[in-house]
Amino acid sequence: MATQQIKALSDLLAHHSSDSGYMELRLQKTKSHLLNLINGDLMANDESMSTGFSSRSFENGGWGFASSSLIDVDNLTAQDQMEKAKQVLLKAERHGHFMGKAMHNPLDVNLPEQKFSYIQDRSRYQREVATKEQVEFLKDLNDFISKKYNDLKSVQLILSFNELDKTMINTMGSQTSHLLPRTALYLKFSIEQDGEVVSLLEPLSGNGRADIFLKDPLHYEEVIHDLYKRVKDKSHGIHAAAGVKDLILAPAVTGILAHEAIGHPAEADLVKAGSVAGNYLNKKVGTDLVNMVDLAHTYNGQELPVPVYIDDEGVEGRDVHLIENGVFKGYMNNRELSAFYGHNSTGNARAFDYNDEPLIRMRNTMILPGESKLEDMIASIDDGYYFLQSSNGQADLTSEFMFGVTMGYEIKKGKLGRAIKDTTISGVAFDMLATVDMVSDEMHISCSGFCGKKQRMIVSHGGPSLKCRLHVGGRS
Amino acid sequence: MSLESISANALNFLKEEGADQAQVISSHTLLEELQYENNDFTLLRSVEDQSCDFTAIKEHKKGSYSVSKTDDDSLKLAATKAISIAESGQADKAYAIAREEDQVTKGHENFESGPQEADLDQMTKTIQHFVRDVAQTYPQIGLRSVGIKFIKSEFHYLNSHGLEVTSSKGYYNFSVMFNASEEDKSSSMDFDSLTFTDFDEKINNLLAPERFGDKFKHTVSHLHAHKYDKGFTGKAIISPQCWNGFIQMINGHLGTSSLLAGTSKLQGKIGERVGSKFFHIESRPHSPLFAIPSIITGEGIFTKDITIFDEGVLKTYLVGLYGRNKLDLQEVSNFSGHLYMPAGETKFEDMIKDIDEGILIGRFSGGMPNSNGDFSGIAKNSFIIKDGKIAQPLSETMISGNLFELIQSIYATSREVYQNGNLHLPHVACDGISVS
Repeated sequence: MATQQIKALSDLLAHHSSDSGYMELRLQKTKSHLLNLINGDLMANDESMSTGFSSRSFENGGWGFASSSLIDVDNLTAQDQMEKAKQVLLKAERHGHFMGKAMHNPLDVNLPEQKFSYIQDRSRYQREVATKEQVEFLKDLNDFISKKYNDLKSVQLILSFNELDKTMINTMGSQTSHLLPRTALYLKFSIEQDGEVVSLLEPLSGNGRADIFLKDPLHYEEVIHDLYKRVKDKSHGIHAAAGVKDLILAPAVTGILAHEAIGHPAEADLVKAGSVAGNYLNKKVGTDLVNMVDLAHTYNGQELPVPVYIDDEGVEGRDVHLIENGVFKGYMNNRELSAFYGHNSTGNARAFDYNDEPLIRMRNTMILPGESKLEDMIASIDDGYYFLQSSNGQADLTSEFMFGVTMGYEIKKGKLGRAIKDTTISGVAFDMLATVDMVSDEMHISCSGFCGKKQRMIVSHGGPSLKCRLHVGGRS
Repeated sequence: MSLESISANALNFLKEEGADQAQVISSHTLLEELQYENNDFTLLRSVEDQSCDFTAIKEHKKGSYSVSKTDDDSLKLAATKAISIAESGQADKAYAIAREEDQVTKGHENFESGPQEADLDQMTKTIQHFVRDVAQTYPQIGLRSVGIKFIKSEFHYLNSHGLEVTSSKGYYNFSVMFNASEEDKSSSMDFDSLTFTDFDEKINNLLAPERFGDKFKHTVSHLHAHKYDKGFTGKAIISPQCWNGFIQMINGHLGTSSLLAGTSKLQGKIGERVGSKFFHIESRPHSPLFAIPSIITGEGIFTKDITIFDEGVLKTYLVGLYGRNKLDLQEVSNFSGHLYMPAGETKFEDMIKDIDEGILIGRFSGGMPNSNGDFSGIAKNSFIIKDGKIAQPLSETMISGNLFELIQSIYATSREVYQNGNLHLPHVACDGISVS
């Protein structure tokens, strides 16, 4: 199928006017499946599959994009489908011409001539699990949890699957066909204590379809017990004291810090828009212990949860070393901005659905481990907090950021103390990195959430535990 | 194939496959987007989407499936898949497809509003004029992104109980994201948006830089933002756009998920006073105050104007058919868009004058509040209010409080109201916000 689709796209590209600039064509199927079980009631049992074709052209610094779902992506070689797709291609080309006229200062920009091919072996993703099997799994898991921990007020289990299936070619000669499936299992427990309801969510995630989670409930015994213990601790928790504190951020929190606070400001489109990271290239922004990367597909010989071997502009996915020994080293880019800044292309241009244009997006963003032991890090703090889990996070171009913290413990005289209630941490990323004085030797990566930047996107992030100083919100 | 034909075929396929109850929504969407970033136009994007959403109930089991291929063969396959998804579920008598008796008001079965095609020339000129005027009036403002989208959305709803509705709506959405910069300093981003249906005089006035004047001035002043030197707990004035976020957080406690999970702080409180008399929130899906009406929910229930909080008293949950049945409630009531809060009697400047030490919150970047409503986060685009004046632009400032204490503490709402085609909200003055 991939070969046929690429042949059909190549035939279509022949209709692209030779005096026009760069063009790319993409066929995509996007699948999603959501099961949501609350206290044993199935609240959602929804699947979807969107399919379509898109075309994008680049002329004098302006982009023209057109897409349609009315084209049968499984039957593109049929004459009527080819004709419809040709109209979409021509519309994108016309839009490119329009942009050239509308722009105040059309640019004489040549996109870098980079060509790469990646045809994925899809046999690794052959197994599609029937919905019935997935529902039964959730019900068994719910029964297991409810019987063992009968003081929980509510148990919510969500199984969420998303898969991006793309075939793309461009005028540079790049071509690709690949799948990116991601499944996440969310366990949310709520417990009531003294009239107050306290909740905690544990996200599990990985590259693959639902089969990666469909295991006997006993397999999750430890995860379930840890989540129960934490929500129980939290139900007796105290409010964090507000102010600037010594903190240890566990890997899940470090990951969101890497993504939100440092990763976004280091995206070349946001640098062009005035991100403070534009002032820091080759400057010291953190202690020598800070090393941060956005990896394309592999770490230490292991494939990462969001492997991007080629991006949606047909550029090979390359690792970006954002911070090396505390020095800020580079941006994540697309073809246009690699030319604008004169940097090597990194392969970060990614689109979520067939009707989305590629934007600069992160892939697997992480702070790299150090050599410290977590217990030594805790022992080094006289009065602070150990933050284990976070909820949402945001940052802006000044690198000022905030994350919600949903689980943590106070640290008193080098020892863990009482749990805390939900709080928020904030700071300025490039100030905070200068306070990192211990980095643990562990590593955890998660791909459970979506990044939102005009479109949704599947990303992963992670890291070790960090010791640093940050502003903690709370009740004075 | 017309949307009507797609829906009719799809519903027949569902019935043939054994659905006891079913609904189908066929839709067709055209989008034209023109985008300007930093210093020039960057993208013209056209999207044509068609889809068919199937929902089937069989032996009290429910499933849904959505596809974008709508030829007969694809619809038949999709109907089989939807039934298979439903059969894989679990039986629950609370699942339902809308019947006549489920309706809470009479609705229109054919609805058309707004322009039917994009005016690209006007879209281009509007952005050009906006950019030119802002550059002349506010040279320190950097327009990071300005965009206009035209959306034409058509759908056809059909269900097995005979309900059939056709709708066609066209509208524009203008959005702008900006900050201020000066030498190596740059401020936080701020943004605004406007939904409208015609490029008329009214819209030109709404897009004039004067309307954004206070926002632009505030953004420029944030080039010199710094931390406040002491923490306090006291009065706050919340901007209308920020207040919208707080309303969404509160309304989250009225939805089926939190009610079923037993995590809602508002459960069992219908008819009770939960906020001050100034806390009055309505949803007005048909009001001309808003650019485009919302006529029907995704479950086929015609919308009506509702009062969610009547001068502090909780009047309704926000539940669909499943939530109504599961929780044994009287009516479907999940109409929570088109938020309306009436103008107050206090001028905004008098609200400021009334405060000796407080905070004007322009934007809140915070974690999701916990089940009890405790929230904390950064006050973005915000100012300290000192001795009755907007004083210091703030950076790195955390605020915290409790949603349910906040709504009880509201003591004034502004005479001036923010409207953007989707919202009608005043500034809100409250107490008990901790600043650190």
